[in-house]
Order: sequence, then C-alpha cells, then structure tokens
Amino acid sequence: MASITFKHVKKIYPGNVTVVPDLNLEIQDKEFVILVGPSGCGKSTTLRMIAGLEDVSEGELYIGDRVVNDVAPKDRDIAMVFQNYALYPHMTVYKNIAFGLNLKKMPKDEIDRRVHEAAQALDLEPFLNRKPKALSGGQRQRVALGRAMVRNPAVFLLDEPLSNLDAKLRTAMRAEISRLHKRLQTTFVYVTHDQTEAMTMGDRIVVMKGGIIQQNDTPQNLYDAPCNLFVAGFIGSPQMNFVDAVITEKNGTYRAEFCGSGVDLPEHMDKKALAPYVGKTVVLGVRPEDVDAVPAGQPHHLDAQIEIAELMGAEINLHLDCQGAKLVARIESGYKGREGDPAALVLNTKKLHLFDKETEQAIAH
Amino acid sequence: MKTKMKLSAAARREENWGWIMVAPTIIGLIILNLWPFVQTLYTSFCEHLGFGHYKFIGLQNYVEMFQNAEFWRATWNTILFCILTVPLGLFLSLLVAMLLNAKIKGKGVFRTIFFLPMVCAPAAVTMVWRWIFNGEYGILNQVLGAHVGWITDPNVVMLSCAIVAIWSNIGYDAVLLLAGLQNISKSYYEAASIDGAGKVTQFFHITLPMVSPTLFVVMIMRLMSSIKVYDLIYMMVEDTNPAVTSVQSLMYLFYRESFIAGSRGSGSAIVIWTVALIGMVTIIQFVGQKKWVNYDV
Repeated sequence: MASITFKHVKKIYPGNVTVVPDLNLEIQDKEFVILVGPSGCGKSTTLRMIAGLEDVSEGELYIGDRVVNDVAPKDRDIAMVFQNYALYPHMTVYKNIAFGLNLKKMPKDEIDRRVHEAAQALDLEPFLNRKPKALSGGQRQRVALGRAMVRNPAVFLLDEPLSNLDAKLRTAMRAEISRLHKRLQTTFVYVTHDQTEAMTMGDRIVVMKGGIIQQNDTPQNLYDAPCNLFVAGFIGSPQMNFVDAVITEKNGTYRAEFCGSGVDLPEHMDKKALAPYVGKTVVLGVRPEDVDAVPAGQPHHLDAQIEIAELMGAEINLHLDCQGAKLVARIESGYKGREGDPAALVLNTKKLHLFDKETEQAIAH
Repeated sequence: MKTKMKLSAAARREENWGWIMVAPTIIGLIILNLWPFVQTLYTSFCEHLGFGHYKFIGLQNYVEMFQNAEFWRATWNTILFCILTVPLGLFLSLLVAMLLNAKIKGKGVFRTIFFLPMVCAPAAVTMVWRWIFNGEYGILNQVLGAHVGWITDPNVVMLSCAIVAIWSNIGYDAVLLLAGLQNISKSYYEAASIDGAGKVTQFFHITLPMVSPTLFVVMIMRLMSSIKVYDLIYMMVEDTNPAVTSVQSLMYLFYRESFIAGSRGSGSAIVIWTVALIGMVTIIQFVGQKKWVNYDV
C-alpha cells in the first residue's frame, strides 16, 4: 500500500515564510496525481516533502499507514525524477542507473538484470556505456526515469520532468510516462506548471495557488466545472473568456446581460444559486471552443470585431473585441473573416460558467 | 590543409584591436618574465666576474652543482616540504571549504577568519609563529608542557615550517575550493540521498569527482609555490641557525649562492634545475589527471 496522506501539513521556510499553510490531501495507491499551479504555488515544496528533501514544519505526512515526517529519504521507498535530471555526470548511463542498487548492496547479476530490463523498456541499451553529456535531452530524461524505475519504488515522484525538453519531445515523453505508469502500477505524483501535461496525464489534478489547494478533481471535472476563477483561467488553452455580466430574471427565466446584449441562462443551472445574484454583476466565463462565428444575418448573440485571426491549421483562434471586452473564439478553419472584419458570435449557452465577482467562487455551470 | 582566409576590412580591424588589447600583457610578460628567464639560462652557463662581466664556461656550473652535497640536500628538503605541505594542506583546505559550504550560522565571519592569513604580511605571520615556536617561552611548548626546539632542532624545524605554510594557505585554497563546491548542483546530493547514499558516499561519489577540476588547479598552484618556497623558511630560520641545512630549500640555496656568495652562475643553474623540477612535476600531474580529474559536467 503506497497511498500518501497529508494531514494539516504546514511548511514554513526560515525567515517565517509560509509556503504551505495547511495542506490536507489524500493520494490513493497506484493513482497518477498531478500537482499543478503557477511558480511559487507550493507544488514543488509539497513534492519535496513527500521525498523527504524538505522537512514538514507541522502536521503529519503518511506514506501508506506510516508517518514519515522523520524518515530519511532513502527509507521512504520512493524514487524521484528531477527537472534537471541530476544524472551524475562522471558516471556512465549504466552506473547512473545502478548507483542506488549498488548502495543497497544488491547482488551484481540482479543489478545487471534490472539495469538491462529498464534500459530495454526505455530504449537506452545502445547508450549504457555513454556518459550523460553525450546524450540528448530526451535520452537523459529517460535515464533519469530508468534510475527511478530500477528501484521498484512504491511511489514515483516527478518534478517538472519535461520542462527542459522541446515541444515535440515533450509530447512524446508525456505518452511514455503515461505508459510507464500503466506498466508499473505504482503511485505517481507529478509536478508541473503546464496545464496541458496536467490534463493529458493525470487520473486526478490538484490545482494549487499560494500553497492552498484550489481544486482537486479529475481532469474532465476540472475542465467542465472549475470551482473558481483561478482554476477556470488556469486550465484550458487558450484560456477561458471572462466578461462582466448582470443577472436578470423574468418569469422564472434567468438571463445574463453583457456587451450590450445577453443570453438566456440554461435550464440546468441551479436557480437557487442564481437567485441572490439577480441585479448584480457577476463574471461570466465561456471557453473559446464554445464561442462560434456565424455568417452575418443569421441569429446570433453578440456583435464583435476581429482583431487578430490566428491560423492554427485545423482551426482558427479569433481574438475579438466586443464593446471593449476581449474574447477569444476557437472556430473551424473554413471561416473567412479576417482582421478588421465584423463577426456575429453565437455562444454555446449550455456551457457557460458564472463566478462571484467578489469571492471569485463559481456560482453555477 | 592550409588555406589563407582573406579577412574583410572589419575583421582585420578587429584583429588589430585584439593585438592592441593584449599588447600590454604580452610586452610585460616578455620584459619581466621571458627575458629574465633567457638571461638566467645564459648566466647558468657563465662565471660571474663581477661588475656585470660574465665568462662562458659551458656546463661547469651544472657539473659542480650535481657534485655538491648541499645542493642535493636542498633538493630533498624542497621535495620533503612539498610532501609535508601539499597533501595535508589540500585535505584540510577541502575540509574547511566543505564546512564553510555547509548550512551554518555566521558563515561570512568564518570565511573572513580563514582568509585572514592570506592578507597578512608573510613577515608578520612568520614573526608571530616564531614567538609561538620559541623554545624557551613560546606558547606551544607552554601548552604542550614540552621542551621542543621547534626552530632550532634540525629534526623538527622542517615540520614547523610545514605547519606555518599549511596554516597560511588553507584560507586561500579553501576559498578557491569553495567556489568549486558551490558549482555542484544541490540536486545531485538530493538524488543521492534518495538513492541511499550517506554523507561519506556522497563525498566520494559526488563532491570529490565534481570538485576535482578545482582541486587539480589548486594542487598545481600549491605544488609550484611549494617547490619555489623561500620567504617563509628565510624568515623562520636565519642564516646563522645551525638547523638551516635541514630546512634549506632550493630557492634559499639559490639566494645564498647568488647574492651572499656572489656566484651568479651557479645560482642561476639552481634556478634552471628548479624550473626543470616544476616542469617535470607538472607534466606528471597533467598525465595523472586523466585518471582522477573529471571534466564532465
């Protein structure tokens, strides 16, 4: 059993800097959990506390059912992959992978078997006698993974392992790490600031900001029902559009008025939640793929002006101005409108998000 | 394949500027280093007749030098001085550097304290040590409750000089090594601690290999300056001290030959021998470094 549990964990750095004020989190055995957030949100500190590289200032940290606050990193049955790989430069790939096993005084033939097994799985066999500097970024990354793999750890910790790779390699390694998780069937905790990595790899995503968990949910739920403005803006690329809107009510139908126009809010939205906001300004969020441009003359919600049309190949990202409000629409590549043209916009009203302007918490989706 | 590249006007101008920039250093080196060396080499084949007149006598200075027991004693003294000071000095410097690199309070103060001997005048340092070593009322004998002639006993005097040399150099070497240590990424130690490496294993598998380029440079510098040692011994042990033959280095002997005995020719031969010694040691080191110095980063 290698679940990980944080119970009221606090991390204070010297100089009384509180990075993590009160963390409560449970990571199940064999789960792939992503800690995601902007720089300085405490995600790396959280990971390093699991590894034992940072002390827990207060609270209890469990791996399995054992409190590990005072357990040395080597005795936690974990392996970690670092952002800069931390491969020992003076050792060959073989020695790098075997280093931890040698320290455990494992029999030579067992070490050899494990190293070759890992090397085979990661396509590293031709490079076993090379030193890290003779390898490409992707190969180094795989050596770092191999070094973690051979130890058969109960928990795999990965600290922004792909951020030093180029975009193409990153996509390939993303899939490779996901495959590795399926094959090894161990707990993975993965730290990244890249929401694409978070969305594509994890069973569950923990979004952090200022050391506080904002939302802890599956990728799909996080995308469909972000709990506050921060999560809504952080997850998704291009990010969600936000406009100020006033809620009105007429004969039991709620409406959001914005940009000189308005939309009827869908039936499935919680009316009890909406009622207190009637007559008030809220933040309306709509994802770019839920904004469409239709030919002039057809019924539409908003009139806007195209500022920039970004051709992405399969689609176009339209950057629009709608009475001063800036919107982005992701539409099919056949669309003919270009810079300076007017655009008639239709919103997918089934996928609107409303947030409280003061508390920034979600009101309804 | 030799192809003369035709330089553009701009490239030629840049090249000329390059030469102008390095000229002061090059001219200085030629006047202050290269030319005196050539002169010394020439003088080593001459007999000094006084008043700037020299007579070429071929290898005679060298023949006499190699037959002189005092010369061989000085060579041995120099080598012994290196053996006593370099390995132990480097070890202690690395130790100090590692302590200064650790998470301790008042690091800056300790760094200053350790570096202090380097900014003190060697004459003052030696004077203090002579008081410490004084056989009659020196503090060292007082503390030890012994009666050792630290500077007068021929069997001990070399050790005393080595102690002072090590003490004087630890700070400087430690600062250089500290710079090397600070270049080692923390994540190596973190990775190693997860891999199960204790402090000793981390030292041998991470610190030592990764600081080895700096250690190598410090070692070469320290060996060269130890082979050339003169001022420390000269100030610790006067000419009239009977223990002087036990500690007299090659450069000390050169000084006595050239400037006290006035025999510039044989003095120069000693210098050339010392240069050859440094050359040999350096070559051996550069060959040996392939085995232990790690330049992979």
